[in-house]
Amino acid sequence: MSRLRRDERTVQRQSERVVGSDVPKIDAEDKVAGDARFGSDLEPDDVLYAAVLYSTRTHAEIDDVDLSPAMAIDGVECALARPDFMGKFDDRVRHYGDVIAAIAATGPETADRAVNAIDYDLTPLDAVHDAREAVDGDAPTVHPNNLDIAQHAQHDFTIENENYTKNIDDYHELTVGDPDRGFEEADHVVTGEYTTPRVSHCNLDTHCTIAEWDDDTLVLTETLASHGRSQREIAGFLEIDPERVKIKEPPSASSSFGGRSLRKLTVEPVAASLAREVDRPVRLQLDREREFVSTATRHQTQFTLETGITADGEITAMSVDVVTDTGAYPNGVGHVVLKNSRDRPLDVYRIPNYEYEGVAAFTNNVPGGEYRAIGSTQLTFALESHLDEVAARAGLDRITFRRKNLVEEGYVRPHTEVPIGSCGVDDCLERGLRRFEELERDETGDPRITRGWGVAVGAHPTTSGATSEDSSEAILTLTADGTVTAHTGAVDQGQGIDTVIAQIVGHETGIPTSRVDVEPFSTTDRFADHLGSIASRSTYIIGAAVRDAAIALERELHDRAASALDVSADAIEIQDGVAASPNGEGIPVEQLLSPTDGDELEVYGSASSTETPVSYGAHFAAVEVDVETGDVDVLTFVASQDVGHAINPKMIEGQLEGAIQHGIEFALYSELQLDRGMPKNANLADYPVISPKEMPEDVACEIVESNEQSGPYGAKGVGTPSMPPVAPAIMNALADATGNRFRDPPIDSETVYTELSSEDRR
Amino acid sequence: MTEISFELDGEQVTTNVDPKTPLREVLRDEFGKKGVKSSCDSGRCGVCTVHLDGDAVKSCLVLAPKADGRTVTTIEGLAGETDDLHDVQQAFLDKFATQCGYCIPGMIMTAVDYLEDGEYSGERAEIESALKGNVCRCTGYEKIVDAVEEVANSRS
Amino acid sequence: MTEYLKPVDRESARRYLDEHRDSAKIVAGGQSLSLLLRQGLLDPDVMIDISDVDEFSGIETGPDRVSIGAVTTYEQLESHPVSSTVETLGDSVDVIADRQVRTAGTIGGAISHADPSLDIVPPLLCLDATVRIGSVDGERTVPLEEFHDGYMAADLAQNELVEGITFDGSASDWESNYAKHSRVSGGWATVGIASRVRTTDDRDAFTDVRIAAAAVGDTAVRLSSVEDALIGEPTDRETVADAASNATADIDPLDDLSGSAEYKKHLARTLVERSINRTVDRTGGVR
Repeated sequence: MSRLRRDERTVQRQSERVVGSDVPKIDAEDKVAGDARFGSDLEPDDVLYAAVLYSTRTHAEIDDVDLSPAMAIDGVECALARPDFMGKFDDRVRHYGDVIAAIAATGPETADRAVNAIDYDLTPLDAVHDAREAVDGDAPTVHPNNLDIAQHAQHDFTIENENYTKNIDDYHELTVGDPDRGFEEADHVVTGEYTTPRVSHCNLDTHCTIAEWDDDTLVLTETLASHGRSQREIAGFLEIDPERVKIKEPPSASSSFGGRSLRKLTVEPVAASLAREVDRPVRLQLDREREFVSTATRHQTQFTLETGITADGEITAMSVDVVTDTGAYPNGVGHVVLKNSRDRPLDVYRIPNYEYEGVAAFTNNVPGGEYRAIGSTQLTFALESHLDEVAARAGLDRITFRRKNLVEEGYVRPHTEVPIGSCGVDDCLERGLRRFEELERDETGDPRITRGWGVAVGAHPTTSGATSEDSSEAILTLTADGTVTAHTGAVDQGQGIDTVIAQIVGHETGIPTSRVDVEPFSTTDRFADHLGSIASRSTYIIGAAVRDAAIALERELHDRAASALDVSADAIEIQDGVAASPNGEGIPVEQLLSPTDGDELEVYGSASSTETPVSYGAHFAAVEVDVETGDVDVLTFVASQDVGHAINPKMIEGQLEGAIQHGIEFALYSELQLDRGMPKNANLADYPVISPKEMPEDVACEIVESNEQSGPYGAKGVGTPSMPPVAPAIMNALADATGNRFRDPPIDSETVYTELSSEDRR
Repeated sequence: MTEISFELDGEQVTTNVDPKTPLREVLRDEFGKKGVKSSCDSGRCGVCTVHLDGDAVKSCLVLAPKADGRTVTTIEGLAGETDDLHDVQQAFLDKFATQCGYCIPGMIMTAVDYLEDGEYSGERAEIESALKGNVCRCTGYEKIVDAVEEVANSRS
Repeated sequence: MTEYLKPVDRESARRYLDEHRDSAKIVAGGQSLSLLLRQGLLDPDVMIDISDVDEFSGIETGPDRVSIGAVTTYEQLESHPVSSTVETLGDSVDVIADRQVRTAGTIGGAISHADPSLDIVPPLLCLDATVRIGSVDGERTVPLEEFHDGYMAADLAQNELVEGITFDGSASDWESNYAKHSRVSGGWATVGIASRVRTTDDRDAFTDVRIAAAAVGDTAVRLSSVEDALIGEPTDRETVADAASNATADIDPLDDLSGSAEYKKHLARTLVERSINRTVDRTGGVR
């Protein structure tokens, strides 16, 4: 086996033959045939089944756990109380659904029975359930400030605000220009308060891990989108060497939307502790209620926004204040919420004077976690609602006002030295509006119905921006049967990255995509990708590494074919896996393997970027409100999104349509309701997820291509950036329809009706 | 325990079950039909949808003894003996209806039931009603409805 | 271990139940039952599955009555002509849960389950339906309105089962409707209203009015205050709106996840008005 490094003759192919076309998803056949196997479908013969005793208290000391009645049950192999788990577990539970003890048994029913047999005593502690109250000096302590349990994004901070004294997960502030002067110069100053809901991903396949120790190495079989981060976090929490944690992907990855990016303290460390104790593989699966309360939701967040504008609509100053609920344990995501809330207004609008303060607080609530456009989704709802209010106050047209203040390509944002690269936001607005107008409907004439429309602009960066540089590696292996296997750090959770990778390989090498297999790095691979499929980085940075490797493979095949066919390398054309010379002589690529290759030819590629390109969207919604019931129906939705370059337009539409679904839920339907930390609707009968009936009758996607110079073929991220503008477009349409501003989604029919029928309606 | 015998994806099978067991568990655990998915435990999501004597039911809501003497078809047996995909499966593939794919087996079984019921208009609103017992989290349902609409139009 | 019995005729069904009484649970479609079993709320020693009992199956229409067997599924009802002739039934079945649940769920199972939010009950109340109850002692009948006698409670002795439901569906001069509000399509009713009316020949006045509501209290109820306010009155929209405002007199909703009691009262008034108006529109009368 020989390995090649990319030589310096890299050619930028601009052929449109595969990239840019709607290549069918390479995993679709297994999925439609019912042959796809997901994490929860795996049950190895020797596996033990875990069951967990979960807390129904939101804050308590564990006094005593008597496991002997459980151990007495036939088939129970192991029982552990929380203080005896591996790693940083202590003797306290901090939210409903936190872990008290766990069992491993030969069957799931036995394990469940054993959990019910455990005797235990808890001493309840005072609890805090509101992030704003939690930072107060009189609040019960959930954790000391800046608790370190090996979460990523742990960093030092100094808190200037004397009201923020305890339970602080993270804190950020930023001042740009002279905000006081900016507000003084304004002709209109508008203030608004907004809150965002605790939304659950509601992934259909619930969390399921199989933990197994191979000597001192923990092997976890489950979908975890970010292997690198998860390995470091799990190892850090378990207090073992990060090299000693390996993650094996199931044959098909389960959906995530951020819900499977990172470890959950209730899952991997618990299964690992049991497996260590009993020295056998242990399978731990969450049921639906646990999926709601023992994993993570989108961070419930409170915003106060203030904006000053001149009479003709120029923003002179903005202030953003954020309080976000980290919940019971830190996971690095409170930091991301604060950072994205801080930067997003400056990525979209020219704001000469800006002040920001954000705090993430520990509470005794279900933890917050990653969810599609972390922080940006919350901030964009608040900001775009607020800017509609600002425009209305100044008597300005909503689109004109936004356009006047939008950033553009080359603009240097005040908080960063890096000028904005590709920026399709203005095209998004223009094309989105045109399409939206085409879909306009005739009035109903029904006096009980009122209609309105809304627009929102949003943005989210490609790659996490957590480090100054993002990089990835890829390996392509051509085997004697003519197939190419791509090993990468990507995890295809449905977004289609495996198909994108196959397209890139096919595009560059001329080998058909049907002969490209895509595999995640195996646990023994020595190549690196630190972040995996999170933060919409897969196509951008993993795709770039694959392209690099594919170009190297193509060059090598050209050289070899040139020798074999006795022509120059430039004269070779590879099509359908056959290298041909101009005179029509051809040789299948697999026959270009040389004896020194062994059975296969392995090619390496890599890519790195110091950029975090921003993907923009402008979304439009039309809603209809039944004034007698308060029912809101989203009639039309246009998602106009700048994707850089569309490698597979149909799959991009799929991302946009899925974002619309999640955005409608955020705006109008979905919230995990907690009453002092106790869940009220932690099941899919009571927690509303929408069906095709709640989707808009007209859904349209406009794909804008701004050609991002740092991305492969000009591409940048789409999955997360398509999320932020959805909810505010709907909320702005609702305000337009009703004349009433709703600032605390989700807005159900009763809220709309109550507001519209109240005496003191504004 | 109660003995039950039924035809499962073209094969006659027999097993003993606790009669309180849902059919879903018997299909997945006893007969390894992992193409039948499991998710919500409240009858909402529809990922476990199979055909019982040709009609779509949620196998988490059907007690196992109800299958006795009847015919159960799962996604794995939908295409029958052939290696080809069923035309609804093919349409889901062609129309980009799959993302993570976890909902797809149940979704296809419901769609086939709708299309084989004899009376359908093929209008989008009607298709949406037919599919509302199947939750998908990835797609916004648009391309799923596209796929069913295509089959409805091609068959009429 | 639970025993599963599958009688094939009425007499053995009744006999099994009489033998096992409170240790037994009748199984019809099992759509609600399987959830209760999963949650551990029920753990019967004996399950008696009556779905193969011919006498309990199907819909019979005679000159002056319609009889629906207990194990008739929603789907069977939906595709039967009675769902078109008695439109409130068709409207109701159309908005119940989803396709799969309607395929397996049964009318008798629903009535026995006695959930006040069930969509099928208000239409049957408007039809003055009678529940046929069987036991080894024979058959007795109870008006549906009296059968549900408390929250999730029914007038059934331990050795009795619901065998069917009967109503007079013959009168072709009735029109009807079912109007439902729910958080999401196919979800539980926030409020559901059935209406059934008969008008004078020139369709300008009500001669008979029946209104019933789901999800407004411990049981589904008839709204006699609205009915009384309309009988003999003109069918114009103002009269209907005035009468609908009486809806709250007969209901006692609770605050729950689907909405506050106040909102449900408002919805009841609104849906009563809408349902009656749709029903009157169906009479084809000029208003």
